[in-house]
Order: sequence, then C-alpha cells, then structure tokens
Amino acid sequence: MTTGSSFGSGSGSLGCKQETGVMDQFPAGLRVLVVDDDVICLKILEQMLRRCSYHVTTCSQASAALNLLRERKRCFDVVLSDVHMPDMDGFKLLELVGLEMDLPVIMMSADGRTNLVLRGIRHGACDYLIKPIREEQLKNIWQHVVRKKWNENKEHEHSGSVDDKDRHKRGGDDNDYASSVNEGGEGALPSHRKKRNNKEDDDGELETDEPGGSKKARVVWSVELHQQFVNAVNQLGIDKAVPKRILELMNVPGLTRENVASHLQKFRLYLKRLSGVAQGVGPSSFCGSMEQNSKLASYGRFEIQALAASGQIPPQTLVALHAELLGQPTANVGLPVIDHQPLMQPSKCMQVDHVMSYGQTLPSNITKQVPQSVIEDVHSGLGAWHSNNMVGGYGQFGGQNGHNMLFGMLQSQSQSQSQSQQVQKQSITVQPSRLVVPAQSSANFQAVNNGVPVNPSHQTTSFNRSSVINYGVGQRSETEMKMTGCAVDVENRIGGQGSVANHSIKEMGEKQISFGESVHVLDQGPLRNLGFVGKKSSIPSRFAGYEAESPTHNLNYADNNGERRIKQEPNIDFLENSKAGGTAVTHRVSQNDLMSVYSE
Amino acid sequence: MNRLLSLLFHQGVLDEQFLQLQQLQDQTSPNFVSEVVTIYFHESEKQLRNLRNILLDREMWDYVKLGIHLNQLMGSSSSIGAKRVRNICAAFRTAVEQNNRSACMRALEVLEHEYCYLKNKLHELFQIEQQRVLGDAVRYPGAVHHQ
Repeated sequence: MTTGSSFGSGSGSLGCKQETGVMDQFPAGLRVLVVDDDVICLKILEQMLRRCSYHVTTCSQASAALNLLRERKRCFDVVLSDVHMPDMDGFKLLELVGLEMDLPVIMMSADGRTNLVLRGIRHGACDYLIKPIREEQLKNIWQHVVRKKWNENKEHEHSGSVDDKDRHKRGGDDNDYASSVNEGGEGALPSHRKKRNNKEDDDGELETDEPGGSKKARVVWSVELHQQFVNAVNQLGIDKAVPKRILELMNVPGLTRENVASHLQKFRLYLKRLSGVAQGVGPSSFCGSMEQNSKLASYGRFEIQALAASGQIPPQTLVALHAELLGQPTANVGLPVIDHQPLMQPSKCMQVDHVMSYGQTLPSNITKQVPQSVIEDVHSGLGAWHSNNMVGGYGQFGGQNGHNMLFGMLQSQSQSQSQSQQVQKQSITVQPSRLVVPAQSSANFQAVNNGVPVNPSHQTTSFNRSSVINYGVGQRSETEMKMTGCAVDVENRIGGQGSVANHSIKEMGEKQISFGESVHVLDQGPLRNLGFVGKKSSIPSRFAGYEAESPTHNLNYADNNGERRIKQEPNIDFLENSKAGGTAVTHRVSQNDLMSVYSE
Repeated sequence: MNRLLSLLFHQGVLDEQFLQLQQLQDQTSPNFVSEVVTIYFHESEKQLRNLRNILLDREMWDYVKLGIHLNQLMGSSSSIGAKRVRNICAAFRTAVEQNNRSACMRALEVLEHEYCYLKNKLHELFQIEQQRVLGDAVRYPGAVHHQ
C-alpha cells in the first residue's frame, strides 16, 4: 500500500528521470524510496527528506516496495527500509534489493542493539540508522549512493570508468552549490551527464554480466582472499593499513573498498582481542581457570604463530602482540603451569622444532622470539585438556577433525576467559572434551594418559612429564600433525597458507572465513566423533538444535556475548541458554568467541 | 518556547526530537506537528490495545507479537520525541525478553499511564498554540500570518 501523496507526487517522481539520475541536481533530487510499516515514521521521514530536496516515495509494505522497485528499477537511487516489518523481514528486503537492483539500502530501526546493527551490515546495508532519525542524518545519505557507484566504477578498471568518476565528481561539486532543486545545475554539464549516464547504463549492463557478481553478492572471504588481505595489511603495517591501499595491494577484481574496510575492521578487532585476551589472563585459582588461562594464552600464541607463520607480520607488531599476550608470564605460565616450567626446559628445543614445523615457513628468528611461551602454553593447554578428557575418541580423528577440535578448543578457550563465572564453570567441563587432541596422536596420548590420573590437580606434573617425553621421543610426526592442525585452523582463520589449510577448509565444508559459520561447522563434526562420557548426551542434542539455527543467529549470540558486559538488554538468548544447560552455553560461547573476536 | 513545553522537556516527557518535529512544520506543511501527533495517538492506542489483549490472556503470551507491537510503539514514540513513553517501551521489551510476566504487567500499566499523561499534555499544548495564534491574529489584525 502506497501513500498516495508521495507516490504520484507532483514533484515528478512518476516521470522518473531515467536518463538523468543522480547527477541531475546532485545531491538534490536524489530519489529515495522509504519503506516502513510505521506510518508516523513514514510521514516524518517523508517530510525530512523533502526538506533535503530529495524526491521521496513512501511505502508501508515491503512487498509493495519490491514491486515498485522491480517495475521502475532506474527510478530510485537509494532505499531506506525499516528492519521490523510485518510482511517481510527488512533484512530480506535488503538482500533482495541489493541483489536485484543493486541499490544502496539503508536500514532503520528503533532497536539499535549491536547484534541487529551487525546483522544489517552483514546483509549488506550501507548504513544503519537508529530511530529517532534526525534530519542531518538524512542529509548524508547521498554519500552512500555516490560511494557505491564509485566503487563499482573502480572495480571495472576501465579507462572509461575513470572518466566517469571525474565527471561524476565534477557534477557532484557543481551541484553541491545548488542547494535547492533547480535547473541551473543541470545546465552546467548537460553533455557530460548524458554521456556519463549512458556509460552508467553500460556499466550497469556490465555489472550484471560480471561472472562473480561479487558486487551484488556479499564478499565471501575465502582463505586465499583473506591471505591476500593479511599480506597486504602486513605489507602496509597494521597501523597504517587503510582500506584503499589494501584494496590496491590485493588487486582483486570485484572487491570493493567497503568490503575491505569492513573486513579490516573485523581483523583489527580480532587482533585487539588477541592482546586483550592475554591481558585478561591473570593469576587465578588453580584448576579451571588454569586451563582457561593456559588455553587462552596458547590460543593467542597460536594466533601469533599463525601470524608469524605467514611470515609477514612486522617484528614490532609481533613482538608487541606477543608482549601483550605474555602480559604476566608468571601468571600465565607460572602459576597454573608451575610444574610445567622445569619440565619444559629440556624439551624446549624440541618444541622449537615443532613450532617450526608447525609454522612451516617460520623464519627462524621469529620462531626464536616466540617459542617459549608457545611451547609452554601448548603443554599446559594440552595438559589441561588431557586432564579432563582422557582417551575419548582420539583415535577417531582424522587430521581435519583433529584440527577442527583444536580449533574449537582454541575458541572456547578464549571465549571462556571472557565469559562470566557461570559460563566458565560449564566451559571447564565441556571444553577439554572438545579440545581433545587432534590428529593421530591417539596412541600417543593414550599411552600418556594411562600413566596419568584423571584428577586435574595431578595433571600438571605427571602428565606433562609424559607428554614432554612423548614430544621428545618419537612422536614427532603426530605432534607435528597436531601442531599443524593448530596452525591450519588458526591459519584458516587468519588466512593460512599451504595445502593443509585448504584441506581443512574442505573438511569444514566452508570456504569462507566467516566468523560464525565455519566455526559452526567445525564444532559439530568433531564433536560427534567424540565419545565423551556424560558429555555426549548433552552436547549433540544441543548442537542438533543449534544446527537448525542460521549463521546469523550465531551472530546474535556472539554479539550478545560480546555486549554482555556493556548492557543487559541483548542478553535474552544468552540467559535462556544458560538456563537450559551449560554445554549449550559453552558451545555458543566457543563459537561466539570466533564471532566476538570480530564483533566486539 | 512556552512554559508547558519547557515543563514537559524538564520532566523528560518530550525530548529534542519533538523540536525537530516542530521545525519540520513550514509553509508547505503548516499543520505538520498536529497531523503527525494525531496519527501517533491513533496508532499508539491501537498498539496499546494489542498489548493489553495479549497480556490479558491468562495462559500463553505471544512474546514475539509483544515484541513486534512494542517495537513499533517504540519507534513511533521516539520519532515524535516522546521520551518517557519510549523508555518505558524499552523496559517493557527487556521484560518480554526475559519472559518476566509480572514485569510485563507492570510495564504495561506504567506505559498506559505515561501515554495518557503525554496525550493530555500534548492536547494542552496544541490548545495553547491555537489560542496563541488566534490571539496573534486578534492583536495584530492584518499582520502577515506566520504560517
């Protein structure tokens, strides 16, 4: 149902200026379609947009809006849509518009909670406005239109498109001074605009023919793509990396600066999380937190490893990250791993080797910087894992599963640390079982385990001793595999290298480093293989339920978790789950860790 | 700004979004504010009725529907600058999310109360404004109408 007044408005929206589009009286005359089931908001927005000299069309139903857009594709420049609508989910409309019409879509909602905003961005929204919307915000929406067009032009890398941009820009500048709708601006560069608009149409055609269609679809950050990204970032230096330069370095057709920018943001948060996690680790009670601490630390270190493994992290960044991670080395390693340290010594060189093999391309100098804490953490981490979860289905794990397990473990480690106590409790019990041991180290570890009492308090000494021995002795290959597994998973996240990474990715069944989805798959596979006494029953059922949830649901949880410390409102899901069962919470927690790394 | 309006601001009943609304009123839309507010009353009462109907059910509450209605009420209230109503909606929403029945009931009561207060005050405000306009017209006959 369309509001009659605006639909057939006398300002000429019916005679949709097809040829002259945006550039006509830019930014005045921008053709906006507003979709919102709330009539009040619709009316207010309409008035505001009119005052910005835009052409406004309003729709109170999403389906009607879609029909309108389909009928008159070239008649609109930007779409403003509410998130919560009765006949269609705003995000769905957003995706459809992005796919079919490739128009910039700005989401709006009274609900400004981060998880929802994140969803909007993930679905491809150019912007997310939180009601009440002010006029000043609407004044800026033309930027999204321009930005989108420019990015598309740039992707084409045609000489023609460069001209487009110039003309575009000139037109834009000229019209900036024409604040109100008038003919003056139009008169200024009529020929240019005509040409540009024809070209624009051509570009439009080209875009549709573009095979990857990556401009329309969301970018899938595959391992290779991410690796390119990481390479570019490292080349520029993490502090100086700007999306534009990264984009240039990556030189990937079809990738927009916006894609890179959002990915960079996630990456930065992720790195911050690494350091933040390490700093959060401190001296704490022995058993549970020890595991978490060490796991956290080892998690972080694996990440550092991976970063180092990529061989391109500038030493200062690596050192800085590492220093942060180390934080209080005694706390990390000393207290919980008190017995480990002396035991570590003899095997240290071995560990270095492992580290090296794990890293595969690790330059030796970096390795030397890193080894100690990595080793210790691996040990403590492993020790912790084993203490709580002996045997189990180790042998069942193929390489990938093991990797996945480790991966899952890594996430749950970090996540558990940042969660509140109630979660931690559960995570203690569940995590180790999930961690298990990757690869074919089953025999190895079983041997180890036999000699080790399950009691966690004993684990450190005896277990580590044996584990040290095993490491030292002949089980190199398995350990390597395991380490490689770690590397692979970690690398998967960061954009690993080498064939193993790809192999694991296939196993995961997902090619993207999407921070919720791949984790999701990861966690389920290996878990099914696990034979955990007492855990088995609870986990799979929860996961079965969890499986049904869409990846975006994970996002919600992740963000809930991430936001947990900030405000109470978004925590419903989280609270419900914690009521339902600890394992579920943990599961989400671990997945969320991956998510929250990027979303926090 | 007249005294009532500043009082309402002071009480937190209205916020600066209401001022934005007033600024949107111009020659092309001379009665913009009253039009919008009238629609707001109409829609809000509809939503409040919906909410109450759901809450009247002794057994099962459709929390999803509650959320939907609340969201809309929240959106429109914030859009016209009804700050207190909007805040109550937010608290109500939290109660819904926590499946807290008693809190929901309380929230609805407060919401209805706040809404009534708002409606009365806004009516008063319009009356004052109308009288002022009339007064101006009387006092300055033949003067250019400000609208």
